[in-house]
Amino acid sequence: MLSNSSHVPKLYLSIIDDVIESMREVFLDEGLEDRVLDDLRQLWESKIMQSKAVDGLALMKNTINSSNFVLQLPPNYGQTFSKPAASMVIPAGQHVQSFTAKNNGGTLATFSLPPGMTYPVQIPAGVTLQTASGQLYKVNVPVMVTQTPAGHRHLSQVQPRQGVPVVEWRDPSSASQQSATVVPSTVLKTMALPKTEPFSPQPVAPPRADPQTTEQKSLIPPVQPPNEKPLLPQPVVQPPVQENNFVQQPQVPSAQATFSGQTPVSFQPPAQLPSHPPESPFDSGDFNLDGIDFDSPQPLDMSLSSSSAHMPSLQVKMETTLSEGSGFMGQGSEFEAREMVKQEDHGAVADMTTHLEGLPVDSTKLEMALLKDYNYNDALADIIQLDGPADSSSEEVEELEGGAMGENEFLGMMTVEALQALQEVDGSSDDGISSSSGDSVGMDEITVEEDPLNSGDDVSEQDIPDLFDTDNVIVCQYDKVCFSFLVCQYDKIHRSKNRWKFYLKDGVMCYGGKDYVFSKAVGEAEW
Amino acid sequence: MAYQLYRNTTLGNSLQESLDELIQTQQITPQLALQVLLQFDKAINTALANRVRNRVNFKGSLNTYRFCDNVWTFVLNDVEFREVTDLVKVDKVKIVACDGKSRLFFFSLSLRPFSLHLQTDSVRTRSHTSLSKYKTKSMTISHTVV
Repeated sequence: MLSNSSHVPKLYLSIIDDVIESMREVFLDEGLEDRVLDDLRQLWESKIMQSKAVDGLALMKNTINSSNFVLQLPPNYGQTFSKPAASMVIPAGQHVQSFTAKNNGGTLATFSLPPGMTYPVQIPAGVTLQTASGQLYKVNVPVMVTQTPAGHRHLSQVQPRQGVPVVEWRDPSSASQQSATVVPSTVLKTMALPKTEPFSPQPVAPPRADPQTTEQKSLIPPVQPPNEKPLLPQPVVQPPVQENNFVQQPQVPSAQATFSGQTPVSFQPPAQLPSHPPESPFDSGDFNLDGIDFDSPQPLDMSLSSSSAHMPSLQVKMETTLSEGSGFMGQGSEFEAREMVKQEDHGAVADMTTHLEGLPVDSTKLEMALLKDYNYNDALADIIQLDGPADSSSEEVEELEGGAMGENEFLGMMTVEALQALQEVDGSSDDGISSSSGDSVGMDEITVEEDPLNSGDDVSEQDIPDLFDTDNVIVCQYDKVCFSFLVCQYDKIHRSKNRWKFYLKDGVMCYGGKDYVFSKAVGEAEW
Repeated sequence: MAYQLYRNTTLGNSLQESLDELIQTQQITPQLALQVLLQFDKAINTALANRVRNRVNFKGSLNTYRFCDNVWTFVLNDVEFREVTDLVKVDKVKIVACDGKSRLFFFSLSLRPFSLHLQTDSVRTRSHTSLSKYKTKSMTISHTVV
């Protein structure tokens, strides 16, 4: 699956490119602007990403397909490039072919990694990097970009080269296809003017050698207007966001707080990066959890009074859920997390929302979606109370339904197992069900009336009207229908008695919610 | 003209949805959207033929089979898809397979349906703005010709 799933995003992107490029002329002939074509492309890609059928599409875009870095070169660019290369340096000369310069108050150059070039790559000081997705990063000191294998979640060991530590930098939408490891150096302080003299590489304080410290946000904040003052090197450069290790959390706020305190610039992580709102997290006071040490300022607004009792359990649950790693990516985990949230106290839900926002958890689009859903839960929490004295199965179903009906955006998150569990638990929920949804009430009434009228006419086994007449009805919206299909061409289909053999080729498959492709497939089945 | 088989994949569906959106907002015409889809057909057929090089094995039990208009449709249950690296089990999978050989046959015949299709465009645009209608229409025509 690893090999296939790494091919699929690339393949899809190449197909998208083909189609878009070949349509460009046609669009122009029709008198349409480029913008329309770009819109189409954006829509197309976003839908694919939304479907989650392809892992790491966005990451692929950023790293491989369009590995275009826009360099903003300081006027004295040449001087900064004379850094000795650890492995690969990006001198101006090497990228002549794709090196275009514009003058926009600084030189703007684009380059793509030349074909022969592989990671690690060292980017000298004073350059601004822009990924294809539009995120801007300014590098103030030499940066080494390395590439770690897919799924590499923990920090590769720090290997200071010439005093430049390496920290893993993960694109927020990565489903862990690849991650570029960026040496932060004093990258975070890259507020220096491009016009200033070359920033001599200042070795950062010894990097935190925890293996858990996986950088989630970009270490290089977005480009700041040129009139920013240079920042002092700070030891708190280190990965401000920690992924799975809650204990690391305290360091984040302190880093952020110090950072924002000392510098005139506000740290604004690119929008696509994980859910760590730049400004708000820095305001709150201390926060203590029983289960987990949070001594330093927690970048959240937590109302401790009502929710402290709930938080530990919530925290632990969230921790276990969120630390499922790749499992968290799956729909199921998201559902679990949501379920847990729903079951918690109302006050805790609100806190959970903010807390989650601060958590340096796996920063993917899923995470963002999850948070948005928590926000919805927050709104719905006024309607739903599933614990406490009101805790009973029938009410549970009713309230879920009420929630589902009451909120258009609230996606029904009933997995099959949960549905069965509810139905099992719920023995007699007539009152609950019928009172919660007008539709189901109507259905029940109509069904009840028709049965005695039509029952005499039924010639069949009488189980057809009964088949769909159930006391337990749940009306909701489905998030995703996971069915599997395989679209391909056949070379040969062979049958012998009831044994079938399939020789297929050039196929696209979707199963388990994920996409696969193959050039040849051989199968057999018994009928 | 390449198989339109792949329009009902994640890639194809997302493209169709995006095109539908653009049609709804009247940024593009339905004819242009159709052109895009045709181009997509070509691109994906080419890409699959040239850029994919892997092999999959699968095994399961056959629930239903159908062969109509040179298209095989199977529904398999309890299938195991095995690639070199690993294994995925699925309860139910639907396989739609077009003939991988006689492409030329399809190719030459398909020219006619498309010209017919284009002629009816003007009629279509009056009543429909959704692209899915075009898809249906073209499939119908091609069946007729064959």
